Amino acid sequence: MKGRSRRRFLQGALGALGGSAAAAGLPRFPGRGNLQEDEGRGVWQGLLDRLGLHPKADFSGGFVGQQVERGHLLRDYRGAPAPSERRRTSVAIVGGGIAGLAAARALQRAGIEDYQLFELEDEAGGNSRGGVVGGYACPWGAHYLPTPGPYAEDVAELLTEYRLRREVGGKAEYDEMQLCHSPQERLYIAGGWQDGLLPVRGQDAAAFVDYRRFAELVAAANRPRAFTIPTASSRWDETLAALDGQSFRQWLDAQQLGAPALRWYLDYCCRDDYGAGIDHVSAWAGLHYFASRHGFTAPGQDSASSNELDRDDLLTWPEGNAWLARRLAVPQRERTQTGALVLRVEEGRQQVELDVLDLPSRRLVHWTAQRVILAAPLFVAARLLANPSSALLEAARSLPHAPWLVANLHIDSPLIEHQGNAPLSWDNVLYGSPGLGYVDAMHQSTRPYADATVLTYYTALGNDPSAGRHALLERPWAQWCEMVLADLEQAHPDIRSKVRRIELMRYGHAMAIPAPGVRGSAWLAALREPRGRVAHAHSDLSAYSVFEEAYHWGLRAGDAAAVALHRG
Amino acid sequence: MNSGDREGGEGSGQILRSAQDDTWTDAGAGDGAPAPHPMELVLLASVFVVAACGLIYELAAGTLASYLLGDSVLQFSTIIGTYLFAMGVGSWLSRFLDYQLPAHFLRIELLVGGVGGLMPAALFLLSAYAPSPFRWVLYGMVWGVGVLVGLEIPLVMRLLTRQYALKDLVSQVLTFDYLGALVVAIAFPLLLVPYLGLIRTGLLFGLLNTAVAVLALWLYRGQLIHLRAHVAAAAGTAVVLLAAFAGADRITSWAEDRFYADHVIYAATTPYQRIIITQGHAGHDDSVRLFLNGNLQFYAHDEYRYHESLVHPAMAGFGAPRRVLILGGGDGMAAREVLKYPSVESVTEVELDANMTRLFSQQPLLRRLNHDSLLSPKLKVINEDAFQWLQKRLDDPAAEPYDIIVIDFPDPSNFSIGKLYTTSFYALVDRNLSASGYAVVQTTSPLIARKSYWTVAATLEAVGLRIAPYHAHVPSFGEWGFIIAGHRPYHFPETLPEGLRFLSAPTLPLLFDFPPDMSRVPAEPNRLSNQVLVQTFDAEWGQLP
Repeated sequence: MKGRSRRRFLQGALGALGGSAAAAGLPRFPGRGNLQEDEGRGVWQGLLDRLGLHPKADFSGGFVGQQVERGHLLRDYRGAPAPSERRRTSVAIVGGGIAGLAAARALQRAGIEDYQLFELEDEAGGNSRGGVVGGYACPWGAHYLPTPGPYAEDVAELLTEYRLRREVGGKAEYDEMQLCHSPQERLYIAGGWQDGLLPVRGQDAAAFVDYRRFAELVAAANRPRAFTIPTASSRWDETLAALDGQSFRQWLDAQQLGAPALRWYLDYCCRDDYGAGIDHVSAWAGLHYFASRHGFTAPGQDSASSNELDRDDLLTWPEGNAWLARRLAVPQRERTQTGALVLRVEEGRQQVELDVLDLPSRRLVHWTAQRVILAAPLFVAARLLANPSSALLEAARSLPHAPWLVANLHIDSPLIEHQGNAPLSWDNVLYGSPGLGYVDAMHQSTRPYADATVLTYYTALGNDPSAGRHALLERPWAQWCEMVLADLEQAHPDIRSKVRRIELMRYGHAMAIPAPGVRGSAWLAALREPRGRVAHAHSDLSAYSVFEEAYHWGLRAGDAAAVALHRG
Repeated sequence: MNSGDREGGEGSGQILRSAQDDTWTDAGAGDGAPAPHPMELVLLASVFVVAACGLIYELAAGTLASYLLGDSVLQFSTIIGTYLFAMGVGSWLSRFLDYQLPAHFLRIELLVGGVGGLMPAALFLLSAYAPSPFRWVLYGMVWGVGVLVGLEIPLVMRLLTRQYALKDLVSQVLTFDYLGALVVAIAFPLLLVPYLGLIRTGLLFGLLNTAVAVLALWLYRGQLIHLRAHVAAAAGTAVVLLAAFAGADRITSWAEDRFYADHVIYAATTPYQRIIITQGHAGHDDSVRLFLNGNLQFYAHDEYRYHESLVHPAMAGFGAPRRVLILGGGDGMAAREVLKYPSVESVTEVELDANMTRLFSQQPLLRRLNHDSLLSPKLKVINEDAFQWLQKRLDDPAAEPYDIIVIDFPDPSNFSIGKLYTTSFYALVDRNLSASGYAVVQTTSPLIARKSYWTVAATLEAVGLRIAPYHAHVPSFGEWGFIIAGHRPYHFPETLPEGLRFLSAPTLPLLFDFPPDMSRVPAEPNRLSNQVLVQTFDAEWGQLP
């Protein structure tokens, strides 16, 4: 690149020429046409790409993880054979997602040695699991963690322990290698990629007016201790309750925020964080998304504070939050039983009894525990408990869960990127798409060239959860692949010629949807209060699913159990 | 193409009869015999070939236009439109060809083969040598080939009317016409272009057109007046096309030579970059230039200025360095300068692209330029990504730090390379540097990319390194910048190695003086999470007139 002053006209001109000397010989003129950066690929492949001739490739794959049948064993359970073994433990933790792992961490930290964690799947981690596709580590669910805000001290402490965070002169610094590298986000809209996710390209003045008004409304709503992470730190009041009582769409209508680009963006944000769009989540949730973290900055808005203080830093890893989940799981290995289906939890006066089916051996073990932490979704807890409370039954009825599909696509060579467009980023979203876009699993790599990678494509099906679950169960792998490819093809016409493998993860009940009235409900408040020997610990208690909430409820339940045990 | 489908019947008998009347003298064929005559196949095969060739030229022109002019939808659309309209004109013109139909057909075939076949090669060369009239010549050639192709099918049909009933004629000819188009439309993107390339594909189909002409020549040899002239024309066309086919590589390199002003002596595409080495036509060693992805890396005539400036201020300033690490710089030029210090015990050269280090340690010309530095017993080449290699090294307890780390990466023109200019990367460099060691970074032009230059300075300082910025004039690059970084304050050396052509101990301090137009400007450190440098760099170089 040295000497660019002299030979600038060559920059990018011959540079991207590929192919053998014999096949080459297509000089390129700078500034004419949109020449691709197809370094490392044959010029003829580039030429075919250019012509939109993308020979379809064969790809392999299938469904992975999350064994639908296992969960449904519980649903269809009608009494089990006599237990073949009886065992005891002080604390039984049901569920090995982030909440269950956090509960185990709290017990261990408090010096409790005698506890047992039961996980249905073959690996702990819940929504924070990851895998390997085509040789590349990739997430199977949650894939990032925002740097913790002022109320998330527990998370900050965890990150410090993992050497991701340190305090220098009273200010938090994060390991730059694990912070999301630049460029972070881009949006495919009006035939090209723009930087950032808020639609700017091709938007009229009306959209920008609404952006500014929404930014003001978010800023106005953001009073101290109103929108906090974890939500348990929030002071719930009339204003929040009023927001919780209406859908986000109703609130936007009332504020006369109608710009289609803003509506799309907010709907996207809600689908991304809550699994369902603005019609299905409360206005509290819609505002919480922004007010709890970085606020909302309209483009062109001068926001020195937002740049200085709230730069939206987040931590991410190729395998997503599995990086965290695996670290949390390591110290629990001895006390974790995977492939363990808890069939029944019955609270007695002196102890709690559990029937646990070991799926590999099909043996039923009868456990007795002093305390039980139900680190499972509330609708599952309602099925497990012999005598569910009315609040729990209400939760099972009224707390909707969004189904999700996560597709990991192994791409054997980089997709064509057009000059003048925003380059491949960490999060790549398509405007107007039914999906949520894709994340590049190799984004955090430091390799100085584009190459094969895995793209993790997400779609939330929470707008009609039961139809979504039905589709997940019924639609064959090939049909889902076709839907994913058809969506991505709009922005990447060459994707079919480069995809080698597609693995699909189906979640029937991935995350709680903060539907109107759920967060402020009496039944959810009742379930958050510990009582008796069985405690709930799950992000469901916050009515939405993020690492920080699950971690908070897990730690709290673990701490409470430890205190109770120490008291005897 | 099984013509046995049409057994017996009027048509078949007619063909045989009229064929005998005209030129065919095969006495074995009898009236009413159901067996198809080879003549039929031959003529229909030529329709197939003619149709295939016609479409190939159209596709090749559209491909070239969209590739060279951009906007493929527009180019394809206008090329196809022009071509089809020209074919219509050709069909209309065919009415004016009355006598000597076989001779007309033969000449048109040769013209189509010659002009159409050479069109991709000609357009390539034109695009390199005379880009301004390219668009007009392109459309002119498309028009010409279109008119000629438009003449072909009417002529073939009129030649065949003597043998076919109209019903069969239209059906057969159009069937083979469209069949030829289908086969080619599929083969063009999947087989021809990938395996032959555009130039050779054009030439191959030019030869097929010529083959049809030769076939016609033979079939109608009895009717042609100037048989010898026709034979000579066909032979001439075939020879030209064959010669071009054999020299297709040469045509490609002519086009590339032109682009690089000099003669391209080496060109390769590696997984990471396109390597081009050129040399002046007189063949002097110091006229060699290396381009990576089209960007000049060194010009042998003045590269000593760049590499002396890159290496010696840090090396001589250190005193007697023993262990040296070079990141990037796979051409071995920096290593050549490093090896001028007898104190150096080991040099580690980390270059991502193995093709670069292999080339510069094997080619005699390039070995003369780097004084065989890559073959030095003191030097070890590691073909890995520098970022990952430095990171891995931290886990190796036996890894010793380096006295000098020379960082010679391409400029931060994209986010991938920008990672090698971040606080994270310099922190790794720092951890691999001895307590008294110096790193030196090539840092683009402080004159053209002033803020970029000082962004690198701020980035090095952000990880706790002291910096000593300097610059030098390298004619082929312009005013170029470097930064020495370390924990020990920088002191000017008393002496420099013997035999340097640019640097001298008394004048060295001048390089560390920054005139007002390059003096320091405030800049934010470049981090993986913001990559401000890439944006600054792009803006600054983009402002060039």
